[in-house]
Amino acid sequence: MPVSIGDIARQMVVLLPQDGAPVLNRVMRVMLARRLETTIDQDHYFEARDLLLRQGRVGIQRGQGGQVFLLPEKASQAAPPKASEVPAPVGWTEAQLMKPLKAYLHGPFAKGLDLPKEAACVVQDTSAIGPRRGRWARPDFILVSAMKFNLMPGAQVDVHSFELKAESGATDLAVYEALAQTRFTHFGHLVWHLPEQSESEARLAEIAQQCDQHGIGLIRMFDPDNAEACEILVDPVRKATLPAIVDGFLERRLSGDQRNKIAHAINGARA
Amino acid sequence: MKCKVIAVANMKGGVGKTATVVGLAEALAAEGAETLVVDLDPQANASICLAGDSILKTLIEEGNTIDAFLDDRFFRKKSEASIAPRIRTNVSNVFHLNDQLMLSLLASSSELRLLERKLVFELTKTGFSLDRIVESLHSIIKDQLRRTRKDYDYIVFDCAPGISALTEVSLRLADLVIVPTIPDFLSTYGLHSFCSNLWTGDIAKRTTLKKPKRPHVLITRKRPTREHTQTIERLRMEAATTGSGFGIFRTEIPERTAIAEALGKIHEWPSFSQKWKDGTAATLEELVTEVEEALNGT
Repeated sequence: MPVSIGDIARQMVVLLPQDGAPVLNRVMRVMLARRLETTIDQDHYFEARDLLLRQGRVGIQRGQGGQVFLLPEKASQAAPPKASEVPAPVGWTEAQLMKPLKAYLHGPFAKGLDLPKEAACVVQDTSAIGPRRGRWARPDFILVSAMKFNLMPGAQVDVHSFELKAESGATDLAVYEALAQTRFTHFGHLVWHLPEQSESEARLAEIAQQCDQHGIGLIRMFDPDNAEACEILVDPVRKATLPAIVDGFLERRLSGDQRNKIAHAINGARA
Repeated sequence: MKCKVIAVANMKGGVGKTATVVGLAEALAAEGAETLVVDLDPQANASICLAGDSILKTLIEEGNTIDAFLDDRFFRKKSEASIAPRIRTNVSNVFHLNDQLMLSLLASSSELRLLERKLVFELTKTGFSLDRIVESLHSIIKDQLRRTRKDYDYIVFDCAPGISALTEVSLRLADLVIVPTIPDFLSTYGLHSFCSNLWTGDIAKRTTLKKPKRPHVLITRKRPTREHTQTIERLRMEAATTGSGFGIFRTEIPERTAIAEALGKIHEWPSFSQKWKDGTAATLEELVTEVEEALNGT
């Protein structure tokens, strides 16, 4: 049965990775053919892709026959699709998961660190802060804790970085991404939205093994509507990142108030 | 092009039947042939290799499997039930020259094992002999093939190990029977038993159905050992003897990690040559040429 350009476009939006990862045009045609159970003519494919391009739903890249990727929802608001073209509901996007992750870090995660009450703990969304050209230099969030000891001199500062992935987005590359971010921090975590019964669960064992191998923490987010519904599956290993590098990183990521809070916890009266 | 039916079977398990079916079907499709794979093995390995776990799950849930069809026909008495709507088209995740391979699948599920047993049990109770059950299955599958074959250049049956009723039917309906065989003592022992059972033994004498075509041995999982080399020489000499029970392909499929890896690529989107690495794609293309020769009698 022939499919319309609208059908192809709708399915393309459903099939494209929600985290914006690009897909080769020829692969997308095969994905569409499998989903729609019919051969997708190259001209029809490009017609559908161009329709989405005009609507601001997708972006394109050159190389290897071209690639297509889903644009963040904000970018596509200028030309919302007609009601009839709205795809079937899909999983949470990374952008949608940011708020639940922030709530989890402020709540259960920070609580789990068991910091003394005089300690400082700040959470910062760093997904849009930092050098544009640096590869994997922008964790989605960082959490900084600072505390002094009761008897021992000096202070303890721990910087955690968090790389967030949507249901379909966790691959071994995501683990390397989280690992790369630990060149600026002490602990790297991969946070994966993986609901119960998800088809992506098949990858869980492999991702957990990769995290374990590289000393990266793995946090499974079951239900974004419930900040308590996150489980730490793999504990991270502390990296010996040089203080000067961590300092420079925080300098550029934290606000003035946050920096003062950390400085106060380190330089203030001992607990 | 007139549709040709190929059955891939061996009494022995683990000889590379599914790898042969998947590799051959993809190589035929890469040549531009519309190819349908019919999975007759309850292990459903060919189904999972071609469709992936997610699509196979849907097919099973929606009753789009060979066992669901047989259940409808034999036990739910739905005479209008057919295999055509149960065939999943455009099933391949592999592309060749920028186009998806033209592969379709009639999947199987683990229910097939129970269904075959139920079939034998229930029909025997109503007075059917085993031969009559095979004849009844033969008639139904032949009728379904007649309706389906116009859409395909090739139909490839992946048979379960052993000689089940469905295996026997598919062998009798096939234009070419391929018997993947590891060139070692145990596998070739099974080969002679398989040939004698169906072609010259009791089963052959008892039935009124058409005798299957002379089978063609395909050497699989070949390793560079003295045993394998000597066994292959012996098989080739036997095949060349007048009145031999089997023919043998020149193509030999070596034991390669790349083949096992290829079968596991169900969540990737490779090209045919990316999937069948380390020269396996070229070997499969040679096999296609030989299969065509065997089918055309050249």
